Amino acid sequence: MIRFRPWLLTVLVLVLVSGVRAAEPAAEKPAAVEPAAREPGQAQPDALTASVKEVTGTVETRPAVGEPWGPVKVGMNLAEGADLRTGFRARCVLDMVDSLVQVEPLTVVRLGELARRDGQVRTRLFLKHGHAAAIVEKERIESDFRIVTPSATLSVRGTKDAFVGFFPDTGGTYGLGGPGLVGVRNHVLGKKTLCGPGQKTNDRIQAPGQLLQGQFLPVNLPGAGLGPKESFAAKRWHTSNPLPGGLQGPAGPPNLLGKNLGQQKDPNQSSLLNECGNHSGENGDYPNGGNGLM
Amino acid sequence: MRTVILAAAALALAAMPAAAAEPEADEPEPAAAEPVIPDTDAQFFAELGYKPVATASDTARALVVLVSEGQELGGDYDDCRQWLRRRDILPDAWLSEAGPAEAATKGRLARLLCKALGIEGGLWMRLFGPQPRLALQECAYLDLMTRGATYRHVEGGELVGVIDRADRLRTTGSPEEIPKLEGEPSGAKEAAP
Repeated sequence: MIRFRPWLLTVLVLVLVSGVRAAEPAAEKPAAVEPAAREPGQAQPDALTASVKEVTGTVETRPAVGEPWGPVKVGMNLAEGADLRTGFRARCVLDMVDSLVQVEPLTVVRLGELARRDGQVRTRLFLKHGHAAAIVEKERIESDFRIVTPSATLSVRGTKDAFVGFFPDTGGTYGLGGPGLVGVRNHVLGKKTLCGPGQKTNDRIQAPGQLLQGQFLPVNLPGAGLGPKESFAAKRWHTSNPLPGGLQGPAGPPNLLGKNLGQQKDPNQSSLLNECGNHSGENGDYPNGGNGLM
Repeated sequence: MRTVILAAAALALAAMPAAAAEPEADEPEPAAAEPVIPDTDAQFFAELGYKPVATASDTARALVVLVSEGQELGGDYDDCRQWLRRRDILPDAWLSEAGPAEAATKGRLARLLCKALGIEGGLWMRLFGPQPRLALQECAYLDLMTRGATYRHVEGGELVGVIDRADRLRTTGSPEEIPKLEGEPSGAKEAAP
């Protein structure tokens, strides 16, 4: 008969648990990311840099997101992924091999792509807001040059003085001052518009209702941006006007599941808000999950 | 019974060091972010572009930069308001008494802009002064601002755009004028025969 030994069982359990624990971190480690397989015949892109030709005023750059910003000086080389921002009356001219780009005041732009592949220089500028103008040499260089704004993309087909401007309130303006041709593809509709010399276009494609909503309804704000009198005045968010009589039910303002044009529930009735205090977080600011228009 | 107790104790012993050696201990905790006042105008306007709403503090500083033509970058909120008082832009009905985090609206901004740029407007504005509604109409007519309700809040990027257009209008006569760019890229010289 086999005799049962408690110490043996204990040792076995210890060994098993240690083995499982030792194996866990290895399983949690992310697998090394291998470079994407290239198609046969596809050339390795040569990374290019943009050299700074002129600087006026305060112009700052950072090599990548998360890196510290530093001043831009003439002769500096900016690699792909660099961000650039200009101050008041500050300008900067970049030589990007196939193009000259002038970054105008109060602009934030990223050098999204700048590389040569199969003899073609591929350039993508991501314009967050501000203005930029470009001279693109397509007669002597094979070039694929585009400026991307939040609402449209300007592609250049051999031209001088292509320009782009974008601000959130006015939208984008795209055009051509010199000879050549530019195409503007709208990101929402996918429709492309061509601009010849002296022509310009914009990306305002909002329906009339949306346009009026954008112009006349208050911005959906976090509570921190409001004064104490504005935040919940007259039991309504972001306005001091009282609720229209027809909408006032016996138990207070109705909650129409986000279609109530900003009529929110009283935060003091919410247990979550009572714990966190008013305006302490996103849930606290928008009890309906932020679905309201105000 | 003793076996079970021994096994449980062994499990607890095995789990304790493993729990203590969790990888969380290796990762440094992010330092608590402190509110930083932007040092340069480039930083101020770039960060302003990401804000969902422009505050009174942002408006005051942007106006100082605009009115001084970039010579003054403004300090804190009170310094900016003091500077604007010396230029007779303040007092007005809002900014002179607003808290720094109070939201700017289109009407308030238009009124300040008209005072800052000396926009006189038409007949009614000359008679009644830069009331928000009249001032906004005048700014929209000059393409400085988009039309809308006077009570609508101003986004951060919108304020940046207004300052940009106001300065372009003042210097070039058109809010969208871009100076002509001359020259050719370096690649064209290399590719030239």
